[in-house]
Amino acid sequence: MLAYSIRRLITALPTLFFGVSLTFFIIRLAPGDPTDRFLTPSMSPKIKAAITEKFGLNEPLPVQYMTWAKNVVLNFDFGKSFANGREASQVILDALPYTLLLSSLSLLFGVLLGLISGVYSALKAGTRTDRAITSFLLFFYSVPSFWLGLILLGIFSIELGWLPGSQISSIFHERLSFFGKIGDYASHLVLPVLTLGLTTAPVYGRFVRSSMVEVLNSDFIVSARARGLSERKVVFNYGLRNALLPLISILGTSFPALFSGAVIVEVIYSLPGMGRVMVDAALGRDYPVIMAASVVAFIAVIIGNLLADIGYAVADPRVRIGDSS
Amino acid sequence: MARVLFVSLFLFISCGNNDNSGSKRVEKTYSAADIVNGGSLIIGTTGEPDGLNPLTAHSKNAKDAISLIYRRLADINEDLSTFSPQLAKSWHFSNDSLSILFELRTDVKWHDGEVFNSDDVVFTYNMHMNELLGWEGYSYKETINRVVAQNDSTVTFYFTEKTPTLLMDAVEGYILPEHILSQIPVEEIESSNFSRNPVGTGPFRFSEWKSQQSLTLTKFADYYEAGKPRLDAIVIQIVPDNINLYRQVLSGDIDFMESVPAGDFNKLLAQWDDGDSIIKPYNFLGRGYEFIGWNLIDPENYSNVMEAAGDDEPNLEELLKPHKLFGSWKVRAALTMALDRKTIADVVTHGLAVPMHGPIPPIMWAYDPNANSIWEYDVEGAKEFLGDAGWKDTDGDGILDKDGMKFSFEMVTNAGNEERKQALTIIQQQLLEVGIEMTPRVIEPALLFGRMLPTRDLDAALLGWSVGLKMELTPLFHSSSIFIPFNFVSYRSQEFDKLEDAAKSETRQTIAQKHWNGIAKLLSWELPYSWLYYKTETTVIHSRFKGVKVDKRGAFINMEEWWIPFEERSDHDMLAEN
Repeated sequence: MLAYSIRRLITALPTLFFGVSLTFFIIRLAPGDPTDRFLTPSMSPKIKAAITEKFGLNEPLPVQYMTWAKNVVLNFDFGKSFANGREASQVILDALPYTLLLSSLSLLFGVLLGLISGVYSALKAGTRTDRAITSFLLFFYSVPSFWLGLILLGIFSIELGWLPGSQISSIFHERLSFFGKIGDYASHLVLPVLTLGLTTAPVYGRFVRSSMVEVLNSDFIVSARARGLSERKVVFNYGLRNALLPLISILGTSFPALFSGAVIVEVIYSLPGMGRVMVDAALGRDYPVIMAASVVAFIAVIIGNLLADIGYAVADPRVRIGDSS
Repeated sequence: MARVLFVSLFLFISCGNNDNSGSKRVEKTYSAADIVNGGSLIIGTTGEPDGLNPLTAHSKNAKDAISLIYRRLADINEDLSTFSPQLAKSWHFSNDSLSILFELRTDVKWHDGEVFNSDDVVFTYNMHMNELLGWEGYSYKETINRVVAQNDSTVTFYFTEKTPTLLMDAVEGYILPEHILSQIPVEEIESSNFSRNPVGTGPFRFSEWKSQQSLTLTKFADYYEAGKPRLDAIVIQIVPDNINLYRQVLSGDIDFMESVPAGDFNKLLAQWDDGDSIIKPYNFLGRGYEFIGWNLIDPENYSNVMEAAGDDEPNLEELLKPHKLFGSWKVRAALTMALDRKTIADVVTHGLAVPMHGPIPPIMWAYDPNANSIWEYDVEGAKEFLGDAGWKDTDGDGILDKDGMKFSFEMVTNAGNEERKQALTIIQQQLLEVGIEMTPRVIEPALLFGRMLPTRDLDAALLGWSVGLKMELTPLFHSSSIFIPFNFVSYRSQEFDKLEDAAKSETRQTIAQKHWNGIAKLLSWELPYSWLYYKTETTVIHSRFKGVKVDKRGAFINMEEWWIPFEERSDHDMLAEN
């Protein structure tokens, strides 16, 4: 298993290299340059030239690329943000925990909702309830997360005023008790998690439903029922366990969608995560931060896929490919 | 987003709306004896400051915070031409007017306890001039020859030439702590810890920064003005979305918002006047104006010009061809008459703007409303001018044409500014009235400012500039700026150059005023721009704050004097007591 994981990681390196390099050159194609930020009518061209040189932007692009790649590979140095001079990696590290928190809570909520609705739908396959659940899921599958986010924000935060619509904590956070603090975080996270969870749940729900329907119609379920096992045992111990297998692989591939979804939801709910950092960096042409964020995103996707494969192999011995033992 | 200058517009002239006699509200008056200390202010802002080092920070919200943490030698007064002492007690011009001697205060301490002295002033000047840092106020210091400390408490600034702005140039920029920054190599200053853990001499000291969330400043007990600041703490809360931010102002979570959307602001104004609101609105002339810039040269020929610019003496007369539409003065005059500026301003800004007719912003001392040539809204006049210029509707399709070419062009603006988008639509309709087909086009800012403006690849642009406190038109219209993006209309006029050079070197204000009037008359006649309107600012501040002063210099000019009566204290005010 370990050998397999290592080999998978090594084969992922070219993907990472290619993806990151492509990003490096593509953002340079976008018009505008980071020194535009410093443009004021009173700024002399001499200063602009000095800033350009300070950022190393006067070098030819391939030279800039080599310098960047060398610093990243040898020193794990992503350079300093053009916008505020902080280490790009520090900017990312400040924001990453919030994105991970939002993504994992949303994943948990999405999977749970998907599981429950999928299983229930499968048990009631063909009935009106099934169709109702299917329509419900299809609706949330079809709406973009930014739309749903804005609607939820409008209703629950702006119109009703029940939940906060921005930031991760309130101004009075520091004065709250331990549980008060948790409650404060929770109230700020309800809407973002709902938005992201609701838009990802349908994928899991549809998957669970179809594989559950398939499994429930297979011979071993018929024989389990024939042996007189309770319905609960048949559904959960026999049916669900087998129906879950495809879900594991779907989890891995939904990782990129979850990440990019989180980025959008963070912007809508003004959470201090990667989303805000990436949007600001992209608009300000803050190349070092864009690159550091892209590397994190690529690594997240690669690890997500790897975890899915490993999880799948663990759950189903038949796919334990290439393991000599 | 590190908000491109053009997109965000700010700052102020004094307000009338709040003291008007129609108001039902009676505000309690306080005397000096009523003033009590304590309480806190929560400022809402949409973006994270890009650092708190005055040398390297650029964003508006960073500068606001910086103004609370640091002090200058002297601060400009409301008349925008005289100054009040800050770190300098007094100053004296030499007889030849080529140097200024500053007497410094001796009772000033840095937030870390070190004593402020003349070394800090000299060091700050050296930092300002260091090109590695790219300080944006650099142009203020270009006429300064050197800065010399006579002793711990006197410093002399020597100038290379006499100008009317010597004092303004000398005191521009916050004084920096030499004992800290001299320990850091210059190239590392921006990325050093100082940017996020600053030390100043101002009334508030830096306390905490939660990335993308909030900044906390607390009272500096050793501040040199006795008894100030009154407030214990100022929290700058980052709420990236304007609607959300406004919502938190209404709910009382946020005490101060600098730019409320115009429609909401008018509602608050009405509520305040009726006496049923605790949010006090401040409406005053800001520092931003909107205009249409007409490209005076043929964009297709400009690339040749750029190449020729490498030559020693490019012959611009030969290289720059006039724009096929806007090269004609008659056409620009007709276009200006075709615009109903008042309607545009009323619709787009909900009436929170004044029409503008010439290049000099109404907040400046050099502004004289009678100096401008005024082109009133006149559809018939516009049609007549266009006819004179040879534009007739020969094929009866409602659009003017000339030599087989239709009068049809694109007007561009930057994405992300709803007001401009809306204005474009209105302008499109107004131009159609006189038979001109204008296609609005909204363009991503980086493309517009980064590529189209520098290469002059456009016909006309609806944009806005924000205004500094120094009279300066060189970047926009001087022929020496012909290759920089600010003069994107490629205006060149020997008369303008002569007038501006004279105005900027004239030390007698009345004569300088004559030159500026000449400039206003010239530009408002020649119309490289059609000026549209000058915006008023829409700031709101919770009414429990007393002693608030807001004028054209902004809403951050006297926060050290803001205070809150005990009976009006809220939950916020207990913040600092924890």
